[in-house]
Amino acid sequence: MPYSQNFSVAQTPANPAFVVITDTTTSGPIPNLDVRRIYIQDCNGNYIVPTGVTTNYIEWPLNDNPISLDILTQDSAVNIKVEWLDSADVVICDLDNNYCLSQYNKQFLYYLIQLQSLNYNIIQDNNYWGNVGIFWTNIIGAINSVEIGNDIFASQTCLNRATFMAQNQDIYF
Amino acid sequence: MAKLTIDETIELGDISNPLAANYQANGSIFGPRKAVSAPQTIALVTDALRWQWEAFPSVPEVRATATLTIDTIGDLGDTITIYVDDPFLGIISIGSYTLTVSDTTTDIIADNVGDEINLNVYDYYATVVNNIITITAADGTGALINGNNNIYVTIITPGFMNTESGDRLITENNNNLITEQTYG
Repeated sequence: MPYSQNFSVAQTPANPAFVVITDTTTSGPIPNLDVRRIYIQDCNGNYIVPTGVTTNYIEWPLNDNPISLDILTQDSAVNIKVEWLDSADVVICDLDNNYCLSQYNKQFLYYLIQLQSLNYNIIQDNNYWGNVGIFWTNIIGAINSVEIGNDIFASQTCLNRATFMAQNQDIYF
Repeated sequence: MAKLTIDETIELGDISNPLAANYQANGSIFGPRKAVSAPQTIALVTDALRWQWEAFPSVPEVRATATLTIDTIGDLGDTITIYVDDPFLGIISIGSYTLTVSDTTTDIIADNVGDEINLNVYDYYATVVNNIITITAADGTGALINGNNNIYVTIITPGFMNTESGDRLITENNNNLITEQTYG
């Protein structure tokens, strides 16, 4: 019998280091289902796990939904796979998707616009407005790389450029 | 024009962006346009607002309430005043009512006090059920007004009442001791 498992992924706005994964499965329960596992890989294929986890995956108990994972230090394009396993650790079904987690840079863009509203003359500064445009374009590019191109490597490249600009705001903004 | 909501502002930005781009494109026919970066400006500011709104959507405020119970009818001339320590305005009076001869039950007094509260200009309002007045805090005060010390009531009694010779003498003091005597 085929199963239609599903999950959603969101970066926590109040603290973008946290990623919340929610099992949104609406079909009936899977017989003998015992546990879930989450695999998170960056664009280079490295596994991302919270501090203290020694496996490539994160154990996700059935009674823990949603699960909040403290895994990010900057915006990342990732592939997230969830497996549903029985008590013998046999995978019953799995699902994976690519995600562009861009909350750090999105919030930095809003911060720039807020500052601009307080000090409108800043847009006269050399290259300021052009750099804001480049910063925004990198975020858009990162999102589109995943949503349209399904390409987390290209997405991460865009995110890295935006992150570099945010981390060096004294140069760019 | 009414103030736009955040959602309306985002929608307006989305609509304005291609219009501005089209206006710029017309420049190739009708001559250069000013503000050549307008489409990009509209797009990025709209996106900044959209993303922040998605991340931190507005949550309807649950306005704080307090209850005031009128449990005795008090005395003629007593003045009940309700004060609030508003987080933005400081201590304000949101209503004051002086008891009259028609205030013969606690329910009537509660109704009259509630009516007075509803005349305030600070956006506090009252609803009354029997002798209980429920006061709802002003919009925007949020959790800042929570706590036991931010609303209080004073009752000021008028002191001794005037008497006239030959009438029944009714005296009153601040201890609510009432004495009656008939002069012959």
